[in-house]
Amino acid sequence: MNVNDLQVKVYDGPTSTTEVSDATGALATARVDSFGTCFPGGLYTTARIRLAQRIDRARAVHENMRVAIYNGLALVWEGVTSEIGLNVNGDQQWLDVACVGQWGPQIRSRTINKAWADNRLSADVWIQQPQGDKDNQVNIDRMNRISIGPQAVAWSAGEIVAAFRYTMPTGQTIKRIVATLQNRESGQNWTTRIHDVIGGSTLASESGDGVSTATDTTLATPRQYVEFQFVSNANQTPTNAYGRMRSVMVYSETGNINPTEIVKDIRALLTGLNSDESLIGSNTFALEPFVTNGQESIETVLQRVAGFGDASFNPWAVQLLASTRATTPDGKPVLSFSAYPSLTDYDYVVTLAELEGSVEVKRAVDGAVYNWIAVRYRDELNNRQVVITPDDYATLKDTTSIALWGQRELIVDCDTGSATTALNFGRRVLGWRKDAKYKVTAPLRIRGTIRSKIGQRIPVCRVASGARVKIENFLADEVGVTDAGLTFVITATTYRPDTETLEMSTGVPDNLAVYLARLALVNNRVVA
Amino acid sequence: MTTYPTLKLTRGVFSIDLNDRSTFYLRTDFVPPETSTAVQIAAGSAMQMNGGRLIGRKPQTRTWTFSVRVVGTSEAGIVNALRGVKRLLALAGDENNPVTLQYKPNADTPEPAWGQFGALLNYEVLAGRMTIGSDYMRGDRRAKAVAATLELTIQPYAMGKRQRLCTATGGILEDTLATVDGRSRGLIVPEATTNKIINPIFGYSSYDNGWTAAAGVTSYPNMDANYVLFGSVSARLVCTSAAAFTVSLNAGNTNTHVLSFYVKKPDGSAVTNADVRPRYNASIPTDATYTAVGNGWYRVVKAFTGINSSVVCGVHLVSAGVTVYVTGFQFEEKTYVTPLAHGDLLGCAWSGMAHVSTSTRTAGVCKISTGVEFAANVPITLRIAFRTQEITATHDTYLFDLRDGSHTSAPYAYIASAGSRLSVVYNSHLVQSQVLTANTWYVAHVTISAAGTLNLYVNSLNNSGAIASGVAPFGAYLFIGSGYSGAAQCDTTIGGLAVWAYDLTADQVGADYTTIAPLLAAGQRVEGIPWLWTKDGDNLVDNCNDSTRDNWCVAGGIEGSAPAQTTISMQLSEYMPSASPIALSLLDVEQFNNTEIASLMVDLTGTADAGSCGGSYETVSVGTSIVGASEFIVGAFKPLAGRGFVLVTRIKNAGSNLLMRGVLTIANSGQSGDWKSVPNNAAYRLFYTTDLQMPDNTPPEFGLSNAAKLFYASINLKRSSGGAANVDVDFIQLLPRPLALLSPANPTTTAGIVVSGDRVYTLDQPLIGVATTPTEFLDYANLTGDVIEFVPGRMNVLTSFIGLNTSANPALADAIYYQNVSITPRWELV
Repeated sequence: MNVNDLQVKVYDGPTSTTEVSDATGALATARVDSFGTCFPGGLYTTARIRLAQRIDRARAVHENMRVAIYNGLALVWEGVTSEIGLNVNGDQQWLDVACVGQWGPQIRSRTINKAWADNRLSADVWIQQPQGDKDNQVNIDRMNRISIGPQAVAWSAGEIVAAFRYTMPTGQTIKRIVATLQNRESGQNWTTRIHDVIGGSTLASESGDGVSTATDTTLATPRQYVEFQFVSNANQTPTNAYGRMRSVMVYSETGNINPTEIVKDIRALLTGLNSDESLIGSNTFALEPFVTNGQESIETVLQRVAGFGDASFNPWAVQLLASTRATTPDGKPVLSFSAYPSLTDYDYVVTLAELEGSVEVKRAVDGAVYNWIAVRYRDELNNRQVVITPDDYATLKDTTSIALWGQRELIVDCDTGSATTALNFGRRVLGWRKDAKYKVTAPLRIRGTIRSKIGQRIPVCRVASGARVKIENFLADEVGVTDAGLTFVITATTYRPDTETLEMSTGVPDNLAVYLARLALVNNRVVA
Repeated sequence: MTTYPTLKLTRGVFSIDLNDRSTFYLRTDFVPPETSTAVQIAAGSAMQMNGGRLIGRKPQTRTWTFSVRVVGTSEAGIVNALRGVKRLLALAGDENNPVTLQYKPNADTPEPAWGQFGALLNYEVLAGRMTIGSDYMRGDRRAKAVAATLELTIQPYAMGKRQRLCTATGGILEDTLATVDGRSRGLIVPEATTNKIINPIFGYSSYDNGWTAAAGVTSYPNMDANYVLFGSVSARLVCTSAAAFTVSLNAGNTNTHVLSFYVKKPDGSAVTNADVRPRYNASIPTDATYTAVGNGWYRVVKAFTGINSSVVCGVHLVSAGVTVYVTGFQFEEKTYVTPLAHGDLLGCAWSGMAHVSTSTRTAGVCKISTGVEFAANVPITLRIAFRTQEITATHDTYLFDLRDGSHTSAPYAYIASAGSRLSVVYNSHLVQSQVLTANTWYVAHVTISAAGTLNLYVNSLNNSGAIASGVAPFGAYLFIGSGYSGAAQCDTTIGGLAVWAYDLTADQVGADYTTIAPLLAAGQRVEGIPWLWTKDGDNLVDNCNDSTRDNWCVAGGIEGSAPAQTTISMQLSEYMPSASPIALSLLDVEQFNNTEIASLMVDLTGTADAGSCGGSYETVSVGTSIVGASEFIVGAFKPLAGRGFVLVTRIKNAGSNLLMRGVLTIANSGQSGDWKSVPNNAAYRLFYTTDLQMPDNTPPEFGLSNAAKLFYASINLKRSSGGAANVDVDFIQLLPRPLALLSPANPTTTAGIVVSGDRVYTLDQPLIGVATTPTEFLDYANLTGDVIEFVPGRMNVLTSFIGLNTSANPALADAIYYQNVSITPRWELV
């Protein structure tokens, strides 16, 4: 038994637990050419397996089957078969089985249209409903609000002056609405309200004269749509009447909207994921508003969620971990959401002497260090692009770094947000980019085994991205973290069984929202 | 070597003899090939100053080219012979019916039905081609003799004879005592005994606990492996004036006792009574027996009359300037010496705390079933190599016995206490050898023809001549090293046993002896006798490990130079849906050690419960904070060095949302596995953690002692949510890699499963207790983890659990019956 011995298992569906019968014996002699992992995202990227068999014979392995590669009882790679090549070359014939990690079929190929917390007031969101001939006898404005002002014509009792409907995407429902309602009737009888037109009930209303009321309504029966209405309660001709709605937030969930809850919601929506949520960490940074850009890729949604980090400006990452990591394994991968590992600790240790081939460790300032951050975001309340800079918020710059390296400015974009969330985004970027750090310019290569922190020799086939490796030769704090020495986060691995060699790309990714099993990472793109 | 090599190309029952000396003649370019092995070396960078490190070896298919001369009297005859070979080669590569090249360097005997020496080496041919020599058209060679070259693509190993393992129990031993190269000399099936000396191998934490060095002798603990015979320590004694190193013991009666111990001098020279003498009470006799056992070690043996009170017993150093290493003391109530017994050996036990109490050994038994492995009737030949005892026992000691209570006329062989002759009795007819010399190797061939003609050859000499004994049926087992009642053990080393299903001729016996004789002269084993040891000798293992149950067994006597192809056929006490997955874990060790095996688990205590392992369990209140069950010291960490392992635990869980993980703690740092869920279960369930890894650099390599105490293992528990509730933890056991989990593809109501390499099948079988012939294939099954293959020359401790699933309630009495375990040795050269 060699420490890196591998066993390939194939199951009869993308998340199945039923092994296919190896009738041809091809799996028993399967040759794994390579497999890889990446962080963030992944965890598993691609694997390539070669099955020697007659290609015109029935085969046990087909596309879209779960593939698990084991080292002993440890699952070291998991994914699905994505394409199978039938090869004949000279006197050889074989099947080339290309596999991708579960991120591809379970995350990247799925989309979602959901508004977790929606404060938009634009005409395409709150859509005016036709009321008949009087539609042109109402004054409407959307100045950070929706304001309805009836013109001085006769309005009858019970007549709806104007109604604006908010509709959740099909399959989603409104579960909570927060809004401030203002009613002006000038001695007459008018009502400003949010109305459940399906159930025929008023969810929130204000009927006073000149009174503003902050409302927070959890719907007893969640609805796909509700309307903001201004209603005449009598036969009357207005002198100065209006109904207004501002500070609106429409929720499709009743709980707090934060990264953890969003990730859990996505987990619940995807039936291809294990129901285990124990690996979804607690990140309670209030992430409001947060909506998808229409029918949006779940991958990019998760990227954006992670990109905000947490309230302490730490970066977070989303991953799909092995199905065996579930507390109750069922063949489905487990969604993980956690802060980046701290560089004050490490998982593996190497010395420069143990590494194979060339090693170059390089520290750069240009293009690497940024200590003055501007954040661009879209403010849906006023429908404009907003940029905040250290001139607005001093915490968006680091004076120590500026003194050391000069002022180096970076503009980042956090898409839709608020000043609060944009500031958090910017401070998180600042925290990771303000120091000059060493990086390796080519993957670190090590054969056979790698030492764990406490001395065990771990088969290198078991090393996965997201772990930390420390190069023991360096005593100084080379990565800007006290006592860390030269410690890296492993951001991509490629394991090649024929030479029992592990290639590790290391460092902190440039784009903290690079989460997927991208070939760029698999191909050892340098990230630092 | 008196005969020509055997070389046959075979497929199934068909074969072509490529050296039949009639049509085919093997040419001199025939050289058995070495296994081609791809070696992976981690070389490191330019900063690596200590060379590379081996990280893996992979045997590979290889080519093998040799030529034969094909002789005939016509062109047609030669062509026909060539076509025959080509026809078989064309069928190569079929895994179900492989073409093999069978080789043996001689043709002394046919291949034995059970045994390795004289068996053919089998090279599996994946593909082959044959070309004719360039002189084909010269003269009339094409009609008389042509050279044909075979170029074969073969699998990596030369495979030996598939051989079923004997069923064994008691204190059986592989005789590796003081061997220079570590290879076993053979199997010892000893009788029961009690060693009344405490701390006999100085294995207690304070090495000389219980021992006293009188003035004039100073003792030191020695850990230099060159002077250690048992365990890891011996006593180094330095004499400045004649004095003794003794322990106090009470013989308990006045019967004859034999004191024995092992001694080595620093320079490995002969030990005599001028150096050391046995000491019992005031007696220091000069006439003890000093027998060289190898590598400079001597065993000193002397009989004394027991004293029914506490007196000193040990070794006396004769004069100033003597320095010796001593170990392996034994004081047993016998008139002759038996192999050393101490509580850490297989089939032995400490009567109390390890190393500070006396040791007992249960009688060894080793038997192989007849009727399947070889016919239980005549004709038959049995060949046994053995060494005579240093001191002949006062009773007949048995080398083999084919009798049972219903077949009392079957053949058996013993060394008679009177006259020291090998005696064979069959159907009430006795044949005897010449007088045998003490402490000397012999090989005996016992042949019985179909008509019942009995011959006994000892070193090819037939002392009694042929005896017409008639025919009598055999029993169900061939007992090796004892009588069929499990008594009258031979107590000495058996260097091999083989069985043929026909009677060898005198010439064949003579040729066989000629080939074997050099091995006997060198005191080397002829062939291994493979055995599978279980506590009760019934091939049954339980589902936990306590004072009355074992979930482990041991395989030894494995031949080969690479892990043997191992086939394990099991019958279970539960049907598959409850029994699977089945965990098989293999730990191969140089020396078996009861204490080390016991240290791989903790049997938790606290609440008495007859349904718990060891009669009790520990209750842990578990809430959302992490709590641990009692941890245990991994005492066997050196054999575990570099290995991965999982922890198996038996748990009752009164609450919900329970999570569990394994923890390995090394001093103040630790390694944790992943959390796994444990369902709410009022009844016991077996769970296993994700795997952890032992470091591969072990402190004792640097001469550090007691470092084992730094390694702790246990489980952590917590609830992901909800209130606290109790968890009852019965035990935690460590299962090292290689570790296989076997599960049927479709769990069905069957209790039979067989694993061979990475192939697993279920058999259509009922539960244990219902005898069946396990041949009926039912379904394919799966193996997750490692291949389980016994390692040659090692003690292979095979530990198992059944019912590692979340719904079964595996009883402690659940069992695996190893109904048929066989090995096929793999050789890397010849």
